[in-house]
Amino acid sequence: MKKFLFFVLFFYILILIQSSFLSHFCFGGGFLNLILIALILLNFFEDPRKKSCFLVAAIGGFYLDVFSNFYIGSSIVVLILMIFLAKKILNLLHKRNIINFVLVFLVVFVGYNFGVYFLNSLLVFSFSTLFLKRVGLWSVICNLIFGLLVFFFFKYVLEKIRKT
Amino acid sequence: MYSKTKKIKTAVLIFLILLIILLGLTGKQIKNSFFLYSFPIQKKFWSLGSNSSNFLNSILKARVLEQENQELREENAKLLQQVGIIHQLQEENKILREALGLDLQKEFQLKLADVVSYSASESAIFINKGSNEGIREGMPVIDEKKVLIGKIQEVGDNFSQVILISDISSSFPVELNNGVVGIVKGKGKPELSLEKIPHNIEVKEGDPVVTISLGGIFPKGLLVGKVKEIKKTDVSPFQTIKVSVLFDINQLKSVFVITQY
Repeated sequence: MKKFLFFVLFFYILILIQSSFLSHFCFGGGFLNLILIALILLNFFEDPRKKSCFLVAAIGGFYLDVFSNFYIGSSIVVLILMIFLAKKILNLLHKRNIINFVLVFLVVFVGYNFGVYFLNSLLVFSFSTLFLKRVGLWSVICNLIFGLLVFFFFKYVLEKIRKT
Repeated sequence: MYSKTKKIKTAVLIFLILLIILLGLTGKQIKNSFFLYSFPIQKKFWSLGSNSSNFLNSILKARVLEQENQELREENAKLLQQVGIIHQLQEENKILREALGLDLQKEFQLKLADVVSYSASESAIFINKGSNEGIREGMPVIDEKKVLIGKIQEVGDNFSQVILISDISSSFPVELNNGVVGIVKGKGKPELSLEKIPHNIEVKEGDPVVTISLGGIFPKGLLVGKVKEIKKTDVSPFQTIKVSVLFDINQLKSVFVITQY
């Protein structure tokens, strides 16, 4: 329970930083999605048999919907599906190395962005192929670079904890 | 055992579906509550982000500043000449209005609002005025220089979402200074494309693009952007024209919502 309360507060801080502070730093048309990066990392380092990441994904998805023009519920659904998909991939990959991280990152990041815009265009009954243009290459690259930096930091901290 | 797990899974699934439906139905109220309580923090973060970004930009762009300065001096000299002409025209206009007995009315009814955050979907901004202040969906949003920023997409009691004109779903009719009408479409990044302009129409770089009242989306005469690049190919009967927007999200702290026009 404490863990989930922590994520309620942690993701709230992340979304405030993401939507108000980081939005001024556009990297070639891409913006950092801190919540999505945090979720991918948490899921990557979590035991694939554990299910707590699904609830954490719902919390993150809720904030992403509230602080955007998406319908509330759309990010929750897409993120839960993406975490499910990521767990399936991780079950097959076993190893927690950088290549597997990049693979999972790309699947979840691109899948979420396409999925959420696709779902929202369906919900407003004005379906078009515009959602395919929503995911910019720069957006993927800058989020991946930031994700990798946090990945190395996460790994370093985990190793330190193991040693102690 | 199997059926028990299956029952739990079904119950969780039904609960999630009901929760999402409930969230969808009460979405506006939820967004409004979050906005109301987050507004003071978001405002601080927004200012902090804006100042940090400007500081970083000034360091990164130090080399080009001198060149920019020179260009601005030249542009300023040209503008000063134009100001003289405009002043003269204004005087004439004033005399004509008085002669015709027309009242000098304000062009629009405006509502000032503060920008507090950028949407996670990267295509909209949030402002701190909502339905309590008379804001309605579809109202145009401009800056103090009459530059079009976007239009109200969603309204809560104390907040509104402004969809930017650069969003890829954005499309509206515009006019060039030679009177030619075209369609402007958002490209996602702070850039627009001007479409349906035939090859035989002369368009120059730097030409201003303004709104027209056709379709009733925006009032006439709002500045949309300036022509940035023109390409003519045999493949299409129309020119490919890029238009740069004239607002900078980093500089936006306050905007005006046109409540009546």
